[in-house]
Amino acid sequence: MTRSRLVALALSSVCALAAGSALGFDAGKLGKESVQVDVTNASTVMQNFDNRDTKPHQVTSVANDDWGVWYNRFNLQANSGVWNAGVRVDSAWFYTSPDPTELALELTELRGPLPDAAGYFRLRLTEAGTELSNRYINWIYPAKYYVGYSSPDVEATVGDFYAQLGRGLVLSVRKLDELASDTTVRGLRVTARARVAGARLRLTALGGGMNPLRIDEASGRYLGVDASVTPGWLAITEAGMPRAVSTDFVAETPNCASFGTCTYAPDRLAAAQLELGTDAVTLATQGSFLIRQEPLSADVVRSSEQILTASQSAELPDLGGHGAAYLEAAIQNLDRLDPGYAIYGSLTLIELPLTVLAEAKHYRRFFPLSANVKLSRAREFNLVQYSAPPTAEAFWVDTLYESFDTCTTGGRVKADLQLGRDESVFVWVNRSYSWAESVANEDCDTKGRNLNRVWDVASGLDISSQRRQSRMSATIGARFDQTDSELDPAGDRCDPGEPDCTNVFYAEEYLRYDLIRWLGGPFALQFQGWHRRRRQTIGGPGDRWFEGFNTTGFTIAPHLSLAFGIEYDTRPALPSTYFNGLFGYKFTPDTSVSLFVGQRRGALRCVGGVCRVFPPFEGARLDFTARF
Amino acid sequence: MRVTLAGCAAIALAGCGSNTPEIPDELKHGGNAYGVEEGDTVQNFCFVGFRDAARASADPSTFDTVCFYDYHDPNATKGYALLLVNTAAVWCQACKVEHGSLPDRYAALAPRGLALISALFEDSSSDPAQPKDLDAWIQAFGVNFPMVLDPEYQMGVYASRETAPLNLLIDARSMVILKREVGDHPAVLWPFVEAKLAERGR
Repeated sequence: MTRSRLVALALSSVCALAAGSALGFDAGKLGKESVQVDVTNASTVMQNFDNRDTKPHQVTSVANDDWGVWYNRFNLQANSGVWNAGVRVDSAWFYTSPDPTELALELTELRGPLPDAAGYFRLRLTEAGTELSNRYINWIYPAKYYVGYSSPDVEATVGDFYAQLGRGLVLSVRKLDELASDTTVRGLRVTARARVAGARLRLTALGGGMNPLRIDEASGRYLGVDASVTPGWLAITEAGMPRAVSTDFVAETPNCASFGTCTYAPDRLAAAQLELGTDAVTLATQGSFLIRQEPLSADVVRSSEQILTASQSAELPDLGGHGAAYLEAAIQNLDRLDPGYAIYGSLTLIELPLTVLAEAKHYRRFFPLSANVKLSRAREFNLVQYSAPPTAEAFWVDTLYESFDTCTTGGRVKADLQLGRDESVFVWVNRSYSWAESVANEDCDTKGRNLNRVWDVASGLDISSQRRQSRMSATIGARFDQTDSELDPAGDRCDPGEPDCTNVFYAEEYLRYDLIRWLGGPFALQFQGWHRRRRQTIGGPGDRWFEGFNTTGFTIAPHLSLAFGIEYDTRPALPSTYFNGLFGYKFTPDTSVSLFVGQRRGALRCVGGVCRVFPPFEGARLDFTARF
Repeated sequence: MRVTLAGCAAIALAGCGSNTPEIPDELKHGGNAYGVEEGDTVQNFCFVGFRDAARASADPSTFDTVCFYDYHDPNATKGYALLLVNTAAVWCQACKVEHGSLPDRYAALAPRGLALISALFEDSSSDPAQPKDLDAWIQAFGVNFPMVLDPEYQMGVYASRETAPLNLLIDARSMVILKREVGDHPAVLWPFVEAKLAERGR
């Protein structure tokens, strides 16, 4: 431990020093081409205090207090003509972290003077030790690396790369900064382009091991592998990556499934896309083939040994200058279920001043390609997935409960009306049915008892003024999610004649806004907020509750920004208010420092249907980024 | 009132720890006492609640003590082939969804040798579950299997509370953990249970 800390400290220091001095330079010649080297370093120091979620008997509620990390991402990229290469090295050094004995003592004291304190302490010590065995562990590892070749006709990459085929039904691995997720394929990708009889032809083939980010900076948890899940060429792609470790609480076993800190069995994937396009239409056929190892979690997706997903898409990029259209139909074959399918379409019609966007989805037994992660020991990585079926919802919607989109039919129509050069209004209406939101329905049985009907409506405006230096966007909306069969107060389906039954599964009204007011010169004032009135029959507090935030910012362009935030949540089990402040300074457009101090409420955050639960935060976070 | 009920439940819970049998040495997997991973021997946790859910009430004086090893059947004399230990919490949507069908699953598989214990560990505010919560849960979902309180969340050694529900499938003959599953995944869990029952000639 001491050695790894020293290594991490040394590397972080080197990286930080590197970031502090200009390291973008011409490194010489490779043949006739000059070699450009760019260095980027992003450092985060985050100190967590008591985040006010402590509850009796809950190890996880005390294990997330009083820890600190120096997380560093060091990027080195080089370009020379048609060649490029890069490496990103991540290091995490936890300079302070909870001790399992102290956690067990804290919970024993919180329990009070009840019998068998020693037995209770031993139980909590075991639980705390197991919880911390893959959390707050220092690591330094090659998070991403690649060598690439790029010419007008051929592109090839060996190493890590992002990929999306179609609209994400078949394959979508990408970076989601908002969710602290960054997944790539570590392997080989080749793309060839040609023109055949006036048509564009593009063929892409890729394959390799899937490479999610291994350290979750929000929780301090890491994903570990061992020799049992890195056979063959995976031993190469997993070289240098964080390993499962044995501790006083977790014994090493020869099998990842029973090794407590072995939490990821790298998935292997092969995929290809053939695209044929003209100016009028683009047709594409794409498929992915995911190969699992022994499942570490037992849902239908993670326990499928092989998953084949394929789709055909057609895109009309220009409808005579009046819009565009897209249609994709996919099939998916899981081990334990009948084949599933998905159909997604979008149509944009532009007849100024009116623009209409219509999206529709029809999914049956169609699942995102979840990573083979051991959720019982690394729940924070639940969101790691290799596909992202479109939701036909606003990207920030976080109320698609349970497996909503695996068995659904619905769509959304959004109309934007341009009232003037700087003013527009919009309205959208979404109508969706899901048979997998209020019941576990992996088979996608579309009987009425399983059905949830959803209305999601919103309207808003976008206004700009002062040569667009001031602008305002605001949305007011509501979501009504009802079950076909009534629910009782406990959340079970009602029996005939049972009192106090309701069809309301979820209901919400909300206001979102982002207002920037230019004050003259370099000064500007900004207000951002999202205020929600919510009701959730199953899993909610029983009554309606309010939650939301407002952030007030002040900017002196281009260097300084200040912000003060207030968050609130009226659920009785949670703290009601949260306060925070942010200071940011940009030395150059690429080099900046920011300091966040204060509290942030725990929340489910979603981007395009990919969601994760963030725990409440209380502490300080310093970010320093330098690009050259 | 809440404190009193919690006190009663805790005293009853503590009491059950003093008169339970220890695991015979031959059952200790790999020479170690107990473990929490698949393939390990399960520890003998005891709880208070209702062995017969039809007798449910919010009165702690009516509670039974129910232990994992009550279902230990090394010589196949009790009729148990498998023990499924399930967790639930009032705040947990997936747990409620799962319990919507759990009584029917149990009714179908109990004659083939499946024993089932469900442990309710927290209320809607994520505070320790109380006797009244257990009673309300049993009534709401028509529970027909042993259901107990786990206010101190002993089951936390198997999986953190956030991942509820937990389903721990245990071989009743050896008390070895066959499967540890978090979340409600009926398409995977129940075929596995049926396959394991079939392997045992049930």
